[in-house]
Amino acid sequence: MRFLFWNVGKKSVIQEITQIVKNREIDIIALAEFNENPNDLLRSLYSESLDFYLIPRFGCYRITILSNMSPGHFKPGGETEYYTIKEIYTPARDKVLIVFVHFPSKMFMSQDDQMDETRLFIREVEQAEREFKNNNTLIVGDFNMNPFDRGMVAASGIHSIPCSLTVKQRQQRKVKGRNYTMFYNPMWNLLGDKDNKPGTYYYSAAEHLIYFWNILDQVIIRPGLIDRFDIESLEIITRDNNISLVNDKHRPCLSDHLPIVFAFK
Amino acid sequence: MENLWPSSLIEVDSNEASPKTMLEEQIKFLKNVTKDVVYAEIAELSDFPIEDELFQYDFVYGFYIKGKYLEKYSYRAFVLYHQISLFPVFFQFDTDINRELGIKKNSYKVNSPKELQDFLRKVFSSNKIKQVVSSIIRLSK
Repeated sequence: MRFLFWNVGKKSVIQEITQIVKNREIDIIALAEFNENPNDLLRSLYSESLDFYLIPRFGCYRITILSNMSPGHFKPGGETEYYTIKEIYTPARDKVLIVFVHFPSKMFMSQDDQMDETRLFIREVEQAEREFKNNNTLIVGDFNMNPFDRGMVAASGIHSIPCSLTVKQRQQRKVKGRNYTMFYNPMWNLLGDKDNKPGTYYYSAAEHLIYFWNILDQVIIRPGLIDRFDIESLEIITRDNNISLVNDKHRPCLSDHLPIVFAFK
Repeated sequence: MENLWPSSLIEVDSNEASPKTMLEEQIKFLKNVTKDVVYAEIAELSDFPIEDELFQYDFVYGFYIKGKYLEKYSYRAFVLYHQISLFPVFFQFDTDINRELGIKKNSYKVNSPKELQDFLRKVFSSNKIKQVVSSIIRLSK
C-alpha cells in the first residue's frame, strides 16, 4: 500500500497531486490545508483513470483523506480537529490502525501546551489500540515538530525512536514505574542534505536557534509494522517528472511544505 | 458517649452542582434531541494531570461525542479540569471552537455554575459541534 501525505498550504495543486498519484501508484492520499473542493480532485484523478473515494469526514476537517479503496474499508475511531484515527482493512486482508495528524503550529502554541497536546494525543491513540484490539499502528502527517523534538522523542510524548532494531527488541520501556510503548521513526534517515532533500519545510528568521530545514511531515510506526515498512520507498518529493516542487533556491515553491511518500506491505 | 459531631456538619448546597454533573444532565438532553442516534460521554483523564505554573489539576475530564451506529467513533469536543473546589473550572478546545467563541488563550476559565450554564449554551450552539452532530446523524442513516 502506497501513501502520499502533503500539507498543500491552501494552494491549488490538484494537477500536481494527480500526477504524483499516477506516477507513484499511490493508494491513500492524505492532505492537510486542502481548501479546494475534494470532488474536483476526484474528477481530476478520474480523468487519469484513477478511481478514488473521499473518506467521509465528521469533525476533523484539517485533514482530507482519499483512497482507491472504498470508504467501507475505513472504520472511524477517535478524532479531534487535529487528528483522525481509522482502522483500515487492507488488500493484504488484515487490519492496520492509521492515525492522520495535523498538529497546530508552534507559532500558535507554547512548547508546554504542545507537550500537553501530545500527551493527550498519544493517550487517545493507545485507547484506540485497546478498543480496536490492534497494535499495528502507523501515524502520518504534519506533526509540526522535528523528529528530534522533545514531544516526538520523550517517553511521555510520542516516544518515536530512530533505530528500528532497538524498537523491535525493546518495544516498550519503563520510566518511573510506568510503561511506555515505542514507535519507530524512519524520518531520521532523511535528516541532512546528502540527497539534496534536507527537509519538508524551510523556515528562516533572525532568531538564535534556526535549523532552516525541518522535517515536520513524518510517518512513524509501531514495532509490529517495521518488517512490513519499505524503508527504500520513504521519500521527500521535490520533483515529479516535469513538475518541480522547489524553486531555483531549492526551497518549496508550490506549498510551503514538501510531500512525503512511502509504502508498506 | 454521645455523638459530639454537629448535625449541621455536612451541608450540601444543592445549587452547587459539579461541572461533571451539569454535563451529565446535558448528555441526557443530547440523546433525547437526536433520538438516541448521538450521545456523549465524559471520560476521566485521571492519568493526565494538567499542570500550570501554580497548580496541578487532578480532576480532568474529556467530553466525547459519539454515534450509536458508529461503534468506535468519538470526537473529543473539549477537555475540562478543576481542583477539588469545583470552581473555577477551565476548558480547553481545539482552534475551531476557540476561534468561534473568541477564546484567545489556551484555556477558558468559568467561575460559577451560572456562568457554566451560559458558557455551555454557547459551546453546544457552535458550528463545530453542530457539524459533528449532524455528520454523525447523516452517516448513521
